[in-house]
Amino acid sequence: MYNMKIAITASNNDGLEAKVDSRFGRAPFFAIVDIDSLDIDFINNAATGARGGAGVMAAQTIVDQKVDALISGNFGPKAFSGLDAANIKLYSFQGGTIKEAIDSLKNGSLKDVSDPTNDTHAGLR
Amino acid sequence: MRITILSGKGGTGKTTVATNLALSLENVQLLDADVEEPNSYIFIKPEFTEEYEAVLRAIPVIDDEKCTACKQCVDFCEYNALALMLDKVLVFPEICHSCGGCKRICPEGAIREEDRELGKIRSDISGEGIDFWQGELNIGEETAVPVIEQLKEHINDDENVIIDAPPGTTCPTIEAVADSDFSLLVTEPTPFGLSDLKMTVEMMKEIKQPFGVIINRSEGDKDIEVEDYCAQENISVMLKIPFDRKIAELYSNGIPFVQEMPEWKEKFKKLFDEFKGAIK
Repeated sequence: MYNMKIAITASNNDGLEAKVDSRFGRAPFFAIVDIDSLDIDFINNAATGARGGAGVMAAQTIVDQKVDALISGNFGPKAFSGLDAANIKLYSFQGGTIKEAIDSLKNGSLKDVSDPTNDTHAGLR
Repeated sequence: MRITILSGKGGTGKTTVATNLALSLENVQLLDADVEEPNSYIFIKPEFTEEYEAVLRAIPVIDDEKCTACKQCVDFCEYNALALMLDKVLVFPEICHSCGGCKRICPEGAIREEDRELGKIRSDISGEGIDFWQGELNIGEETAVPVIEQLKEHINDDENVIIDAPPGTTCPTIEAVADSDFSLLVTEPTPFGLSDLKMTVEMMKEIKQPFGVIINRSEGDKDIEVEDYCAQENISVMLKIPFDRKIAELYSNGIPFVQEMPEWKEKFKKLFDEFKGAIK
C-alpha cells in the first residue's frame, strides 16, 4: 500500500538496526529503504565533511536518489527549502533504529515537517 | 603603523584594549572589523547618520527559460550554494562566495549576476577626534571577509591605525590581521582563555607577524599558567589589566576606563612606544 522509496539519516550502516541520526546535513549515512520489501542500501553522505552548505549538498544527494520521503531528526532552513522545492515529504523521528522509524511511518505516528526545525549550522554543534 | 587587537576567545577584552588604546594616543584611526557584532562604537560614541557605504556582492540569478538542468553549475560550486531540485536550479545567496564560476561554466548562458548588499561601512570623527570606521555584516549573511576587505580599503597609513579584529582564528580574523605591523593578543587567566590563546599564537606563527600578549582581568596567582606558557614560547606579556571593580563598572556604563583613570593613558602610551620599538 505504500510502494515507496524513502531515505533515512543513519549514524552507522548496520542494516535495519542502524541508529537514526538526528542531524540531516551532517549525518554520516543515508539509508535508502523500499518500504514494502524492506530492501535497504546505505550511501555515504559526502556533505559530512563539507566546509559549508552541508544542508544544501545533502539535500541534493537525497533528491538525486529520487526518494518520495525523508526521515531525520532535524532540518535546517536551507536543507528544508531545497527538499521542499523537490516535493519530498519530510518526517521527524528522534532516538531509535531505522526499523522503528519505518514502523512509526507505517502506523502513521510520525510528524510531518512543514517548517525548518533547526537553526543554520546546528549539525556542527 | 597598523596594530591589530586579537583574541581566540570572544569576550576577553579586545574592544576594551582597542578603544582604550585608541583614546590614549594621538592621530588615531580605529577600525572595528568585528563585523558580526561591532561594539567599539559603544565606547567611541560616533554620530552615525543614516548614510552608509554598501558592501555589494555578485550573486547568480538563473534564467529558468534558458536553463536545461544540466547540473554543471551545481557540481562546480565548491560552497554548495546551488542545488538542482527537480528541473530548477535554486540559489542559496548566503553561502555563495561570488566566485563567478557558475556563470562561466554554464553552457547555456542562463546565469547572470546581480548585486546583493552583504554589509555596511559607516564612519565618523568622534568627539575625541578618533577617525572611526565600522564594518557591519547584514543579519542572515554568512561571509564576513568581503566586508572586512572593503573596510580595510579605508585605512589611512598617515594615522596610527588600530584594528579591532573578530574573535577566533578563521578567515575573517586572518583577513583583519593581514599586513599589520604588530598585533596584541588579548587573553584572560582561565582555561578557555589559555586554550584559545594557544590557537591564536599558532595562527600568528603561521602568518609570521610580530605580536605580544595582554592579560585582561588579571588576578595575581591565577595568571601563572598563561605566564608560564608565554615564557615557554618566548612571548612577551606586555600589559596586565587587573580584574577590578571600577574598570568593570565603567565598562558596563559604556565608559572607556582611561577617561576616568588617566594613569592608564600613560600605560597605553608606554605600551605603544614599546611595540614601536619592537618593530624596528
